[in-house]
Amino acid sequence: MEEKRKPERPARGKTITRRELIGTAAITATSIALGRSIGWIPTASAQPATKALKFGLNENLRTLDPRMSDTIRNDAIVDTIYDQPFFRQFTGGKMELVPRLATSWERVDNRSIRVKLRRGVAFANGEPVNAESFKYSLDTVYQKSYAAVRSYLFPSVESVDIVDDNTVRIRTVKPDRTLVPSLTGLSLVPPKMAAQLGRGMTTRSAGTGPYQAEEFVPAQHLKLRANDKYWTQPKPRLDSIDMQFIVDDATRIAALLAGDVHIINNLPVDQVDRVRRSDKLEVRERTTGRVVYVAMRQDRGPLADVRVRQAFNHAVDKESIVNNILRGHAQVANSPLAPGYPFANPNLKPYPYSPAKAKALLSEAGYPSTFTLKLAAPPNYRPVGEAIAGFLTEIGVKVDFESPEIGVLINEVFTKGPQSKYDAWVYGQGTLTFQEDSILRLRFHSDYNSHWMAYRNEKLDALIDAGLFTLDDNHARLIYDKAQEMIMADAPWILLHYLNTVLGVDKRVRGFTARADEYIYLHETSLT
Amino acid sequence: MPHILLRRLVDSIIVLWLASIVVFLLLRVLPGDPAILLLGENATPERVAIMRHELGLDRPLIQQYIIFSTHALRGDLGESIRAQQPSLPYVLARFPATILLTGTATGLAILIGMPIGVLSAVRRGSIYDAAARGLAIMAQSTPNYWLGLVLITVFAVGLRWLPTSGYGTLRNLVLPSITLSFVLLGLIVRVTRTEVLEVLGQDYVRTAVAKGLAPTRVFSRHALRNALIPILTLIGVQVGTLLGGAVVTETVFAWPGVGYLTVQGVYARDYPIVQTAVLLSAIVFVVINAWVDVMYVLLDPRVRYD
Repeated sequence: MEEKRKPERPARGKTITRRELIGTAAITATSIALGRSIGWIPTASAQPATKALKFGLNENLRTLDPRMSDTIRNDAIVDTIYDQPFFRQFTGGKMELVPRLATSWERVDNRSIRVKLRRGVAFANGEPVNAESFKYSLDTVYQKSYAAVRSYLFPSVESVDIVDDNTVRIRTVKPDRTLVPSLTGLSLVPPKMAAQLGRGMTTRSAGTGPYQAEEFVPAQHLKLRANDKYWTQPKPRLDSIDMQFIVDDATRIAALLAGDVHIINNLPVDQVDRVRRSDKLEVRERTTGRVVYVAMRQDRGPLADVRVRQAFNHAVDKESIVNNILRGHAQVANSPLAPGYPFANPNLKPYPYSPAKAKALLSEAGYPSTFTLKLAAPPNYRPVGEAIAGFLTEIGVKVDFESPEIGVLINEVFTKGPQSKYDAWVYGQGTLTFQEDSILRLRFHSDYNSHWMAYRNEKLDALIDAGLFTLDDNHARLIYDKAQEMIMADAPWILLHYLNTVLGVDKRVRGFTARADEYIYLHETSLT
Repeated sequence: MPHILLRRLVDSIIVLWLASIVVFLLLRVLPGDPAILLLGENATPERVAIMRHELGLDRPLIQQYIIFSTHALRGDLGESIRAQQPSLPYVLARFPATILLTGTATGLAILIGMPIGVLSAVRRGSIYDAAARGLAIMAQSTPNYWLGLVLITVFAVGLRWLPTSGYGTLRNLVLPSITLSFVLLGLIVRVTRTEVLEVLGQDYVRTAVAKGLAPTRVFSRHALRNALIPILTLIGVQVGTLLGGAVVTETVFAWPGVGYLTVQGVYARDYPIVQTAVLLSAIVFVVINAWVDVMYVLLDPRVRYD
């Protein structure tokens, strides 16, 4: 009775009424539940992962389907989940093939090869690696109806036939020396799962590779876990790999410096010293097959004259661009084919820097007075483009320079072609398989470049075709040597440099090197 | 009240319809072909043609718009060209991150900005006032991108208190939300200060003081409540600015939100993604502004929409 008459105590200070207590408890419980449901509050204390590698990647991984991958980073990561019949190894800087899911290959005739596959390997979902899965994987890449992005690797394939359970025969329309190296870009996928999921393969995967996808959250990260059933040595040396997508350069570098990630790719050259100053970090780099150049439309007035194009090559100080803009993280180019190509010609020399020679060639060609050149460079090549504009101005050319977004540049140059508002543009061309044919054909064969570069040299076209159809390496070397000489003399490009791939790496990371094919290769990587 | 809601709804539908037309046309006016950007410039014209046909880009523009809008009415906003997934769930999956970021930033800006603005008004002319105004101008003129990087350099790289980037824990939220809150902070301080100053000069406030009410009560019951209305309007109008600021902030902090997705979509000419993201952002904008209108009525009984 007494209790009831007591005035209710005001809710002040540290006293809490029952209603408030219940209310607070309810709110707390709800927020914890909410937090857990969206993954913000861990349900159990996180296990200290001993061998968890964290990687800061400079792009948002788009797909886990190797057939639809459209960038070299995406290729590299999905090719870790899946395996290929052969793979690329760089010995002494030159590309060589090593067998992986295939054990061997042999030529049946000049238009077909036979590939033997390893027995006893299975995809993570249990489907076997056999002739059927090989055929399915290649069919869904090369056949036009699938519109696979990596179809560009197999332009000549005509049919894939199953010979027996572990042997296939691939026929090409014409002899094709690039076929076997191109198979390094063919990841084998499990046919039943792929047929059933269709485009669902974008987010789900089951490969034979050393690491398998555990969680893929677009725009955030891809978590890979070691495949304990990996079929060969060395077995994966890490428990997990967390690929974090950090597109902004400054943030990615900050993540490395703060120790949030162990490796970052695409380290901007002006940040290399910052990484080197840290005693825990180092820079790993290598010259790649990516050649940077200025393409010129050969049908635009003065550019039609080979002397003008040669003059431009003399006018640009390639050494200075490499040393000052790229701070030494590139190599002056002596051929469109970087040294990693098996048949790169080491005897060719870059055009020496000589404004005097350039001016003389311009006068000789009948252009002693100024003319205007419309030059473009996408944003990533902008500093190089500005330097070139400067060098050309010095020999009396009036340069009208623009730096459009890449989509706009591609539209002008490759879609509009002859109507393009640009006479010349800075561009880079990388390579996955280091096949001479791919770059020579795509960039210099008149069948391919007439629309956007209007360059035509029938002798060169014949050489490029002969190179592709030649299955004899010695003969191929002669052909490609000649083709490279011809391109250097014709100067359809202002040839600049080969870019380095530059990575910032925690010193505790072992078994990880920068590769000439720009691949992020984590098969043998470990953490100490 | 139901009358307002109905009129609001009709207005909103018109706004959304116009937004859909604008974004549809703007994307197609932009030079650049999604098929080539996906397949690479080395793809044969034949393959590009197949891809364009598959994406429906070979049809006349009017037909493309009719297909887009009829499908959109059924809730089908197309399939992302790059991600090859239905774009509505793909974009929706990014919304919680953006809402969390912009919501926290708005909350921070209000929690920090309003008290500063109020104090600045009450102590008008003092050193405190000068400092507050200085802060407001600084906050408004600090580029988001730069501020984000400074915060990362100091608190993540230098002191190592917080992660540099990423998503998933409260620790990840701190730096991005502070960065984004600066977009609104300066404005809120300035508007709060102006409004409170104006209200304090009103007759009814003087009356309240004259009849002997405690200053805190005058302030909370009479002054602040009336100053709230313009601040609320401001926040409604600034939703767009916030979403814009979120684009930059999300990029710096690798925050998986809708702003960053939209920018990537524009670069890749991923029409369905950009259309969906803009449409959903327009819905957010419209809903918040409608909510602000309704809040007026609740805050100020004099406001009537007839």
